[in-house]
Amino acid sequence: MDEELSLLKEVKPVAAPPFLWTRIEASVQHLRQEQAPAAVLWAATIGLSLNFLLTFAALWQNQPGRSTGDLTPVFYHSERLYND
Amino acid sequence: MRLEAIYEQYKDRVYNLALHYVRQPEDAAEITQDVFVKVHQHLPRFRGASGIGTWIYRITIRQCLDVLKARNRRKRRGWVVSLFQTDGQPMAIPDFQHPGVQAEHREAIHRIFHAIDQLPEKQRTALILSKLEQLGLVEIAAVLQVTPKAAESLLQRAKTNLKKHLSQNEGIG
Repeated sequence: MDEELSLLKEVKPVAAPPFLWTRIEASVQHLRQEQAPAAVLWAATIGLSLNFLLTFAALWQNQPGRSTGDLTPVFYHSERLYND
Repeated sequence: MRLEAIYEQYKDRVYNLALHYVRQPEDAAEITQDVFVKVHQHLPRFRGASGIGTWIYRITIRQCLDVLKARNRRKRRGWVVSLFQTDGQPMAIPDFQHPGVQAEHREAIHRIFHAIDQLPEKQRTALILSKLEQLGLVEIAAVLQVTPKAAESLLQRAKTNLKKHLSQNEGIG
């Protein structure tokens, strides 16, 4: 058994084929090209969501009666305070 | 570290480890390519908890086992297809083509590899790393993410099972 296993020492290391790096570079390049449109898509989605959120927030803030409703009594009270 | 530098340092180790698993230069080349593409993809998230060499070994082993599983699935499908084929052409099963094995040892080493193939995954990996990659117990343990004691036990079981498989194959042959 040990003799048979020692036969595995006869398996000599070999060099990797020289063309491999070119293939790896091409694959990596391909991956980058695939990732670029995805990044643009993400950026566009985030931009649009932010735009929608800000517009909605601004509209909500400027609803008629929302801002003035809270402020009117204050003006009223202060007017009364100084005029009386 | 740049991918090219990593590739230059580890290309032969990855290619040879893949060859020990699949014994096919084309498949080993494809595995090597896939391993370094994976290294490129995951390198930004590599935190260095283990050495980069250990990490690359792990990726290679996973890739090799995936290729072997796909090969076995193909073989099984081929067997089913052959039941319904009338031309009697057997499905092409990859031959033993390890370029690191000299002609005079080819048959004997092929027999050992055939027995190694019958071992469970972890035992097979422990044996390949020990007997073909000449790694020590601590390094094998790091690759397999087990304790050195567990690695030693795995190796022992691998040898016992290999002996069993070799004697069975001898009986058949």
